[in-house]
Amino acid sequence: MKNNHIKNTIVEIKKISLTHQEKSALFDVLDWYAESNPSVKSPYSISTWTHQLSRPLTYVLTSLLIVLLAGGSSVFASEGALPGDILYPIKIHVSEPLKVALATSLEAKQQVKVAQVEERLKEAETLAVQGRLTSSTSIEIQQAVAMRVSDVHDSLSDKNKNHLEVTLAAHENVLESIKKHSSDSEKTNIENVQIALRQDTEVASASSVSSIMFAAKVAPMRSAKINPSASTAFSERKDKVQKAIQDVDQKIHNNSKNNDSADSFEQSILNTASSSIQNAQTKLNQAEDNHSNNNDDEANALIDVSEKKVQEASISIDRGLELGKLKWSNRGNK
Amino acid sequence: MNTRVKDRFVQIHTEHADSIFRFCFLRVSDRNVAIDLTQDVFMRYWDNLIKGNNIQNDKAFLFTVARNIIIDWYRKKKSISLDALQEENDDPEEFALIEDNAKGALELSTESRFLLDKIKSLPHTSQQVLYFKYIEDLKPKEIAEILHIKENAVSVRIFRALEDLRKLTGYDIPPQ
Repeated sequence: MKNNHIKNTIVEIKKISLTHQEKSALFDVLDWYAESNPSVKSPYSISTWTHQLSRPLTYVLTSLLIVLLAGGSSVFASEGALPGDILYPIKIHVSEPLKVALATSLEAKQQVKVAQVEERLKEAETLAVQGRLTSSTSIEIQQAVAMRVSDVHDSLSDKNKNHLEVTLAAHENVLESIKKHSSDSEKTNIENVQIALRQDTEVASASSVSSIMFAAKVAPMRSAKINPSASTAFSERKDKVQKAIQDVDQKIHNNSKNNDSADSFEQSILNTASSSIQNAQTKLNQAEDNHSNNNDDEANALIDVSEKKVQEASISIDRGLELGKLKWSNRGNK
Repeated sequence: MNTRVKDRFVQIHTEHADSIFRFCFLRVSDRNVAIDLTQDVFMRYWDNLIKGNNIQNDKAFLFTVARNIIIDWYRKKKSISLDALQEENDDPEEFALIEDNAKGALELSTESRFLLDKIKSLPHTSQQVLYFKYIEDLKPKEIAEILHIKENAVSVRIFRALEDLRKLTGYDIPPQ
């Protein structure tokens, strides 16, 4: 009886549909749109003769053909390919799996996979700066990033988890800055990549936070045994993070001076990095206070946050500078 | 114009226009807005077809685009609404299975309203997998593609959602 209620509910919801008139009117608009934007696809396009095949088979056949015709150099040539380029499938289905397979240790394989997540985000940024990030390439990148993060995050070491979390956060900042200086249609596509990125950052943070909480639980036991050296270790780590903050701050200062335009995505990235550095300094000061009050668990957690903020700022700045050069070289070519 | 591409477009529109409209309508609670969003989804689908992009699964592609468009719609609506001041913590990426306003517009039996209320008390991630599986009859692989998660994760979410729903309703819900 109750199962009938479930079936009835499903049937009732499935009844929601367009009326005949609505469907007809919708079709008329879409037909007009299709006629106004006709297909201009080349008859020589690879996907014309491969679209009936399954995707993996298509890539294998295409890859074999290109490797046979052009030799192994095509695999290397695909390194700089972007979504939408003919060599891009070679990059993600031949070259990148090959790199994972050739990595000798589990740790090395994980590092390669994290680097490949970062590569997808760099591709999105490059396309966005070039004004080539379309709805389909943004979906392709969203899916590739999400699948890879979902694939690796459970098996990552704490070090790689932290690196992944910092990398995702840094590229989120870069994309946000590019978005501020993009057209409305480009903004939508950038936002779609950001949506996937935010969800993946949550996944990465959740696993990273759980490892920090675990570390916090075992820290009192460890510190009871190694108390004298723990204090020295904290001091050394604090100095290291403080030095990193100063270095990144200097980098921001130097590049702000070199940057001609105050209203550019590069400057926006530098501004965000500057906020991150201030945040890192605050957390570091709080960590020191907690350490002075013998609250080592809190001190360690705060210094972790501070270190991540510095790394995030550093990655954002480096990437912003790379993209700035790319933008200017593109203008030069036009 | 490439007639094969156009034929494919017409066929996919005929097959899936109602599903995409339903998906939009249940989330935006406004029939005219839902029709506009459905139109946008199929325009983007056409744009991709004519560029020769390889769309492996048309239905999953349409739902992925629809999901993105609805998120954009929520974001734009929020940015021009005073409600935004009170709902700063709302996550535009996580929308409910069925909006309360839309539920009021549906002709549902008492028992169906009871069941929907229970489903709405589940996490949004659970609501989404139940919707795609039981209303749109999508396979776990297709749901995985839309939600950007692994196929195994979809199966786990469905199993957990059914367990939770069983506890909430007391129904003996059979796995499908």
